[in-house]
Amino acid sequence: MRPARGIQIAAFLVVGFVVVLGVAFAARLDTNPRLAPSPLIGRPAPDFDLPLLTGDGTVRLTDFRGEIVVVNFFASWCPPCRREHPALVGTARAFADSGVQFIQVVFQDTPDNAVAFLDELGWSEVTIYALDPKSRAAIAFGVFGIPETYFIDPDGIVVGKIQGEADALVLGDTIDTIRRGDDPGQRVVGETQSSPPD
Amino acid sequence: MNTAIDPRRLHLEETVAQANRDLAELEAQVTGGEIDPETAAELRATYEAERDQALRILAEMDQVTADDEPARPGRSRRRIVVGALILVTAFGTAVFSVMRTVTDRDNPALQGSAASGPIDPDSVSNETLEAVIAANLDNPQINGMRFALADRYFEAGDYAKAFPHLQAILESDPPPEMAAATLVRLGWMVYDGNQEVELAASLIRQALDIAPDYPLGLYLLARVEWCGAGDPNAAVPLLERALANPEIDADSRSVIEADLAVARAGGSCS
Repeated sequence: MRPARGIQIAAFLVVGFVVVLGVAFAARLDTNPRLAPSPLIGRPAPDFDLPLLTGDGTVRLTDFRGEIVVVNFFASWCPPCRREHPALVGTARAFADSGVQFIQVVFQDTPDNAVAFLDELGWSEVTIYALDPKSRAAIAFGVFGIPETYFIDPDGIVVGKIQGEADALVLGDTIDTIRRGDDPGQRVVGETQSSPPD
Repeated sequence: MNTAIDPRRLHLEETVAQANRDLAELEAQVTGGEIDPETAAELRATYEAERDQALRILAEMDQVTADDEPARPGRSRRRIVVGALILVTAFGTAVFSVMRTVTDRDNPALQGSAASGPIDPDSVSNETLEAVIAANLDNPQINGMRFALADRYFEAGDYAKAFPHLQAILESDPPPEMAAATLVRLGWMVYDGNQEVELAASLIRQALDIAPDYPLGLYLLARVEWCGAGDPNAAVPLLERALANPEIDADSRSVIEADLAVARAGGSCS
């Protein structure tokens, strides 16, 4: 039995819709969202009030208005984060007396694993380490993968972002750029990981 | 401007100065083979701990009073001469080339900041250099950057910050010319900062044993002998040797020539 003409048209439309979706999806693949400029650049940083990794209390981003704030998302399961860690510690210490506050936020990881990571690689005594329950801060910042580092100027505006494993020169130069009153913008310096390994 | 003398600050600054004197003397003893490495390491750790604790407290005090800090006076002509002579080093130190070597990255992100173009070495802050050094302690190439940063502090008269870097360079078995340049700066710092004439002269002489024609060493030893020990006759041949270096710029040359004329006449240093 031949299908009715209406059904043929509906089937054609469905196929056409799928083709259109496919083309659109393929087009999106060409514009990798990880490389797209962050819509946050130039906008006020999303505020957060996150529990500290160790001890009681929280860290609230707006408490640091007037300082440059560097927000880094990291996890123990992320190899680039391990490689990046010494640069973050060294840069945080070097700028500690210069009105620059580093905040490292644990991304999709357990507190125990994050503490073990820092016990192994070293804590910075001038950095604030925070948890991010339900990844709310990561979502608000639009974190695609880690390590990802955001730079917030003294007025609370996101002026820079680094994707991938940054070294001390990149971190320091980005801060220097902000201190000169320029906007560093976005830099992609290496691979990121979006989720823990299976 | 608050000109009151803070006895606590004075005590802390003296603690730092004493520790730096002890460390400089220790390095001279190590260089001269007068002390075994194990004992030297213990003493070094003790002196450094005392100095670092005092520096930490001073930094906290500075943070509190930062807003009241008076502007730094302009650079004296003498200091400019020292700055110019620093450029006539026994070896070249280009911050950015060292940086590229240290970071060893062929990464577009390193090529520029917000705008495209290479990173301007002059725009790199002391903090960034500190951070890069801290993250590359195991890299033997780091001494070049350490020296460049120490020179920034040295030229600015911030001896407390220059000292740990120069000390680290000496402890890393640097090439002879870098060792000489480092010893000269340490020598001048213990003289200019702490009026330690004998120790200063000893350190700079060690440097000149390594690099006899090093103009900054010759000039600063002349100043130590003349202004510190009150011996213009000792300064004369040193200033003459410094002037023999054809790379000295015209301004420095005129200052050294003026000094030489006064020293030859047996005048007091200014």
